Amino acid sequence: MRMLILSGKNALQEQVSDIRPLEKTINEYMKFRADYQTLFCYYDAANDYEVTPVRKDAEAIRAYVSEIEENVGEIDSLLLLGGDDVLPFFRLDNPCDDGDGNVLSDNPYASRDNNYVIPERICARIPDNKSVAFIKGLLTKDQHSSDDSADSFGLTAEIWRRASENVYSPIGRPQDLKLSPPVTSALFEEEWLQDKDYLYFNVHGSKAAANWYGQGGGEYPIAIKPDNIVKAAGVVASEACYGANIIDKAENDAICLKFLAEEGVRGFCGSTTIAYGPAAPPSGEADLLIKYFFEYLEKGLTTGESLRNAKLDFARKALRRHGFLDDDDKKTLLQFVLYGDPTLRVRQNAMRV
Amino acid sequence: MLIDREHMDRIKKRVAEEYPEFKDVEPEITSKEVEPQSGVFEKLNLGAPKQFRNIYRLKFARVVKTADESLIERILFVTLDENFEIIKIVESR
Repeated sequence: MRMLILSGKNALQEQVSDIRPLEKTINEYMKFRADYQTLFCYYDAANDYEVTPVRKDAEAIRAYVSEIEENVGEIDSLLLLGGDDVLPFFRLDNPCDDGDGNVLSDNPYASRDNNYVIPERICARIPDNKSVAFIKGLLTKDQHSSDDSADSFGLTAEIWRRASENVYSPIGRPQDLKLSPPVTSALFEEEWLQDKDYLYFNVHGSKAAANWYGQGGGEYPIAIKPDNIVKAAGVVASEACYGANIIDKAENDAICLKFLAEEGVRGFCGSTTIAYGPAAPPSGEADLLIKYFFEYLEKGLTTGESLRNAKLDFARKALRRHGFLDDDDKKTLLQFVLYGDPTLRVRQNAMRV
Repeated sequence: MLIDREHMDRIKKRVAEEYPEFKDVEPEITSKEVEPQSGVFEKLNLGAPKQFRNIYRLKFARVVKTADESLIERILFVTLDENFEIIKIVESR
């Protein structure tokens, strides 16, 4: 497996000031991950791969990755180091008629052709959060995985209980799902998020607000807020609208960044924009994608492999059901991103794929 | 009128029963021709269908206020096939 770690030198320096300690951590990471042939470069600096540096532009950076691939061979896995100010998300046309002007996506970085909805490469991003310590924390996660039965936490809006039970079933007992209401941030127990393999959320999110919300009985209570996250552990998957939105956000107003700052959290999978799902089974859209993501993690695949494969399976399922990808299918495939080290696993025994 | 009264009444009745928060919302209706997505099928090593499809989309939307006074746009999409049969219903998270 060949992995490229990519960042922008000037932009990263602007975000975190001193990048030297980070470069040391990246070198240590590359030595430690001997099971990968890991390459590291800045798209805007001289490199060992005979590729001309480019400006901070998503299309130019994508072309830069393709050129590296031509010179060194196929890149299986791409790790983007930095947030939108360092490595811009693609701003893709929104297939859905909703409030999102564009869909922020990393899919084009994962795709070798212009069919962006179907990724070939594994692609993940480590947001910078304007902090070297934050990035280093995500590059030095505990590699430990186990074959014990899953210890999971799930929280769903009460109205989506049936839909969420179906998603949660690969990783936990459906009857253990917490519902909001009655759960609210005021009643939230910190221990729920601790010492877990998986953390699952099927709740409402908002572009502006920091919190995620439940729904039931005509009410939209705060289900969880950043302050509820203390010593959390596990791989996090959230269906919340804007659950992975990091634009102009920090740990205090983005639950995803708060989770990623936790030592025990091994990755975050979520949506950059308005996400969709059904109220009840069969699973579709965000429900189906996250269900597949959990299933692959349980089979021993890495977080990166699990999201890539989940997207492929999701597309196949939609095509079999209806003969085409409709607007919400396409948006789902584009909007879900993975934050964190894509080489981490929850389970030890990797399935041959 | 893109969808006849009988079908529209049936769809609205189902939405009102299963998604009561959209009960009194008037939907926006659009029709769309879906071209064969041969590139997607090829990339997934699936045999590509050749025919075009006509689908209809009904968008129900309203803004709700959360417990902390944040505003969230709630959207419900109903997708119909050529015969106005419901293919799927999804709502914003």
